[in-house]
Formats: sequence, C-alpha cells, structure tokens
Amino acid sequence: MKPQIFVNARIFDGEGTPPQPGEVRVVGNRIEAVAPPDQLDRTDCSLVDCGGNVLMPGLIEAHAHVTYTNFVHLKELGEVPPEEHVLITAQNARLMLDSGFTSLYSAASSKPRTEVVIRNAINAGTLPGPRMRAASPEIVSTGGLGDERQLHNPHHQGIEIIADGPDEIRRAVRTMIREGVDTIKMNISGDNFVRKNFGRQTSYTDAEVAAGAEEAHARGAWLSCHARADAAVRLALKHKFRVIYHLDFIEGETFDLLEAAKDEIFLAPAIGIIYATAHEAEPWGITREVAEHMDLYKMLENCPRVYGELRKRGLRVLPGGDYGFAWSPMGTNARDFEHFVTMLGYTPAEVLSAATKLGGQLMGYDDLGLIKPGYLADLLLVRGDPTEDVRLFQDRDNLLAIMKDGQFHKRPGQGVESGTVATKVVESVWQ
Amino acid sequence: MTVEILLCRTCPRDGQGEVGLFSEALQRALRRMASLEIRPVHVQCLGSCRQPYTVSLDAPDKWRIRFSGLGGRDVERLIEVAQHYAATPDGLLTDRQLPPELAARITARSPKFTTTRAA
Repeated sequence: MKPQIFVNARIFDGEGTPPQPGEVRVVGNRIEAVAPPDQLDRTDCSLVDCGGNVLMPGLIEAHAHVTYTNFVHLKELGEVPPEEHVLITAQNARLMLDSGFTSLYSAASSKPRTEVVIRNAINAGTLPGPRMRAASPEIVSTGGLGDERQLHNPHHQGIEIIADGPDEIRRAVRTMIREGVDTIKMNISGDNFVRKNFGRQTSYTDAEVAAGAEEAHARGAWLSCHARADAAVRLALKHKFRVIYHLDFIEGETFDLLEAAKDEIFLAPAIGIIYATAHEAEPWGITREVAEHMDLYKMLENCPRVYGELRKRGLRVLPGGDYGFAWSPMGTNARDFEHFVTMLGYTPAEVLSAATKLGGQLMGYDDLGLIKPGYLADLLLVRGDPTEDVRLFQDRDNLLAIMKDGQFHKRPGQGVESGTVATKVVESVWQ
Repeated sequence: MTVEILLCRTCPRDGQGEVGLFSEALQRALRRMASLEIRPVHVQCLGSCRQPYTVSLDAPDKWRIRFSGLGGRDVERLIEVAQHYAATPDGLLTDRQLPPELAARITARSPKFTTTRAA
C-alpha cells in the first residue's frame, strides 16, 4: 500500500491532551510523521480526508476474554467442543477489531490452546483480528474460583486448570508455556459471584503462588491474577505479578506496597461486569436481592474510593474486562470507558489515554499506543470527538476507519462487515 | 430535541435469519412516526437476549432504561415515553409518564453513578 497521509484530522495522540488539528503520514506499518495541517510532503502518498474528525491510536482491551460466548453459567464454556470454540473465538476477535480494539491483552482463555491458535493465525495474516497476548486458562485450586466440579460427577470439563500444591502448579505453568501462551493467569482469590464473601478469601498459599511465579519468571511468561482480596493482592505483589485484576478489598499498607511497585505493575478493576450484574442481569435470574447478597452494590460504591487512591499514587489503571457474559456481552467492551467517566471520575481524555498509551505498555511494546513518529500504525478515525463524548465507541458505526499495523481493516467509506471491497481508495469520508 | 435510542445489532440473537431485523424495522417506524429527532445508537447487544426485541433509552447523566419483549404496537408508546425521558433531568420516569404496557417491559434501570438506591 502506498504511504497514507491522514489530513484534515484532529489528532488525539494518546497522551490525554485535547485533540489538535494536524496530519499523520503512515509508511509501511509505522507512523512516519505527525505535523500541523498542510505541512507534510504529499509526494507519492494517498490522502485520507478525515473531515475534521478525530484520529487516535487504536484501543487496547486490558482484560480480554475472547473465548467467552455470552454465557450465563461458566460450565457452558466447558460444554463447547474445542473445534467450535475456536470458531467462536475467531469471530469474537474479529468483532473486537471491528469495534476499534486493535490490541487485546487476555485475562484467560477458556481452553488451553484456543487463544494461542487464534493469536498465531492473526499474526500469520490468515484471520482478521487484533494484536493478542494469549493467556492460559485460569489456574485454580480445588474449591477456588472456577472449580465447578461436583463430587458425585467425575465427568467435568470446565474453563480452568485445577492445580493444588507447588508441584501441580509448576506442571500447569510449564505445560501452558510449552503450548505457547504469553501470560499465565492464576485465581488467587475467590469471587462474590460464587458465594458471599468468597471475594475476600485467598485460594492459594504463599508456597503455591511462589511456585507458579518462579516457573513463569524463569521461562519468560508474564503473570496476571484474579485478586479481589487484600491478602491475594499482597501475594501477587510479593511474587512479582505483572497484572493484578480487581483489587476490590485492599486496605491499609497494601496501598503503600502497590505504590512502591507502580512502575512494574498494571491494574484493572473490570468494573463493567459488576455494574451489569448489579443493574442489568434480572432477565438472567440475578435479581436485586441476589445482587445485594453478592455485595455488588457495596463493591460498586467502594470502587471509586479504591481506584481514586490508586490513581493518586500513580498506579497504572486500565479500563476493560470481563465482557462476554450474557448480560455484559462481547462487543460492548467500550462501555467500560463510560463507567470510568461516570463512576471513577476520569475525563474522557484520561480514560482514552489509559486505553491507548497505557495499553501499549501493557502489551509490552515501547512503540504502541500513541500517535508519534516511529510508533506502530494502529489508528482509529472516529466520527465526532470522543474526548467530548466517550460513549461514541458504543456504536461502531462511529468508527470511520480502523487501521492495524499500517493496513486498513476498515477504510473510510467502506462498511467492514459487508465485505464490500472498495474499487478505489476513498479519499474523503464525505463520499 | 434529540433522543437517543439504543438498538441491538444482534436482536433476536438466535433469530434464525432475523438477527438485526428488529432494530431495522423499529428504526424505520420511528422515523415515520416521530416528530422529534431520533438518534439511533447501534450497540452490539443490550444483554437481554432471553427476552429479545429490546431497546434502551440513554443519555449522558441519565439513567439508562431498557425495555424488552417489544412489538410493533409498542412503537407509538415508545416515542411518547422517549419524549418524556428527554424532558427529565435524570431519565427517571414517573408512573404517569409510563404506559402500563411499557412499564411491564422494563428489564433494567441503570444509574450513571455508584448508588445503592433503587430507581
């Protein structure tokens, strides 16, 4: 493809400052230059007229579950045969890219190899989808979050890898790294979704978490964890987990420990699933009374306090997470940006910076997530100004163009899902 | 006065060829019948698949109100309710503003702030 210059754009570069008029030249898969209007040499370039709309970095989902099927009960994921599950995951990956997410950081796969396979196919160019960091299934203890076995029923196929004791955990971690995952996920705490106060309990001992961490660190895999409980977060910090999810019940000195590690770790509350379960899941049997029993309203009230303090202390907090349940479906992930604004007090620009600049860091790139010379050309052209209304992303028709790695996934003027192939490069979004 | 109506792209999800047709038909009916400007917002899914044919009324700083199990006869009532919704400061509708037929179809009221109080 010829070099592209996006002209007549308002550029949100990912740093969190207001969009500024400008233009961007993309050569190959990189942003080559960013300049004020009418400054760039147009020789041998195709022009993309942005029509005054906002050009920004592609979005990054920090807690992706692209193997989720909009399920009601976890066991449904286990009941999907592997072959069908690969197809569903491929569709979800494509849906995420259609929705403007040019990168995904997985928070767990439902089956051991599914995400690895999809990631590899995307990287090889055989499937459309975002950049992916593929995760293991959740490694859980007997009785931990994700263990849905029943004593009388030996035939169980779930989403988890059950591992008890340091040796079993080592084997599980080694196996998943052998199969090619980027990140190992461990459920260190329980969750109130399962039973009352389970979210405040740890499911693994120090020795068990240490074993898993030692293996992952030795073999070059990243570590992430489900950790609502204060003690679970402390275990994660002690053993140098890179990503800690939820942190609902932290208190006291844990804030200091997190602050001390702020340059090494990433956090994500995944507040969307709590919100949807509390307010929108009644058709699925989760009434207000059930939600109260789960303490979901208390968790929603607590989240701004916890994450306000974490932000004040300079921790890197990212939006996203746990979309793929029936009442918080796949493809509605951008709603998390609105939650960050309405519940956690972010400005739209701040949450979009978290979803781009911090997302690039989370993905492990030093050249992803900003509109800056030398950075990878993952770009979105958004109708209107998402720094004024972050809800724009909830309707993907507002994504006028999607570029990943310097290639258009959606060209201006083309409907990506129709499969229509443009007969020429559309040079204005007004055509 | 512009009113946002959220329409599901995937409704009914297991519709055997009908997926997405409900929102398209509703959008056409709204355009024909409404005197105020309707701004459709096409979301992937409103999470009410067990009770399909769903829309939500939504606006910044207002409660999102979801209606499920809708039919063609509900369109006029929906427009009337949308007008009331647009005029409220917070999206909460009184009993007088909600026809019983639509009140019975509310499957979610979602706040735009953390709260334990009921709608």
